[in-house]
Amino acid sequence: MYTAKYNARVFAASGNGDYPFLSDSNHLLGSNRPVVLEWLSNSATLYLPDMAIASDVDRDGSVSFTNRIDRTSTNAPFVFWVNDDSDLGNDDTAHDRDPAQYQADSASDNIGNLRDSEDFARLQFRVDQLPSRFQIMTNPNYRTIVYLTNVLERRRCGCSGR
Amino acid sequence: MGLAEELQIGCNPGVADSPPVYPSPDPSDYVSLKVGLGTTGKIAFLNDCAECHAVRMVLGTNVLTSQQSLRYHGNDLDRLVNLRRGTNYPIRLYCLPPTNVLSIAQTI
Repeated sequence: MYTAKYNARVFAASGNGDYPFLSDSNHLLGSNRPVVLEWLSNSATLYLPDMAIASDVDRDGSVSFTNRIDRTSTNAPFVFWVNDDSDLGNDDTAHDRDPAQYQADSASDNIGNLRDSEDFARLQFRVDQLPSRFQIMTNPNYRTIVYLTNVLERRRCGCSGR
Repeated sequence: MGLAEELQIGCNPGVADSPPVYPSPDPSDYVSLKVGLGTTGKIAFLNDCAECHAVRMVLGTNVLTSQQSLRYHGNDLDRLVNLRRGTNYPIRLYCLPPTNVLSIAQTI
């Protein structure tokens, strides 16, 4: 008669629920599991998908997720232009208009001209793929949320005003 | 820094990026998860003696062991572990002591 049982669970540190991305078809993990060879000989797999945002921060012409400088993180956020100027023109005659008198470029969903496109930067997003059984797109526990803030002080470049 | 400045100080923007080094100095490369372990009851008889037991989880390089069931009856041991993003970790469990763990087919 077996009386020995064990509890073995993995939780998200920020919540009380079980960590969702565990492949445990043999039910190795759980509460009140009997201590028997058939169960302990199984293994489970914990998936920890990476979600990252990168930009060409080191200005080497490529966005690289293997380069720690290019990757953004909580301690190394990517600072970007809020595009609150007003650009005009597509060639050498392009110039900046007074943003106090014209609508800011950020008010438009389109890139208005070549000069405006200079205010844009490439961002790359990477979300590691999980096994299909986790049903990424329908699983409410798995969401990618991108926060863009302009909490930093607005600074204007005095030389070109771009 | 513009291309001209990079050339002035001898940087070569065409050089491939170096691979990341682990363990990483960046805490955002890791995720903290909480592991709960615990045991109740006693494992199979051996020489007419039931024994208290503990459970050990091996999660990547983390080795976590619960307390003996006699001393901490049913209480879980919670511990935070830091795991690296983008990695899949196998999980295995062991019983301590291991020699008295029997199969379901065996009866005492």
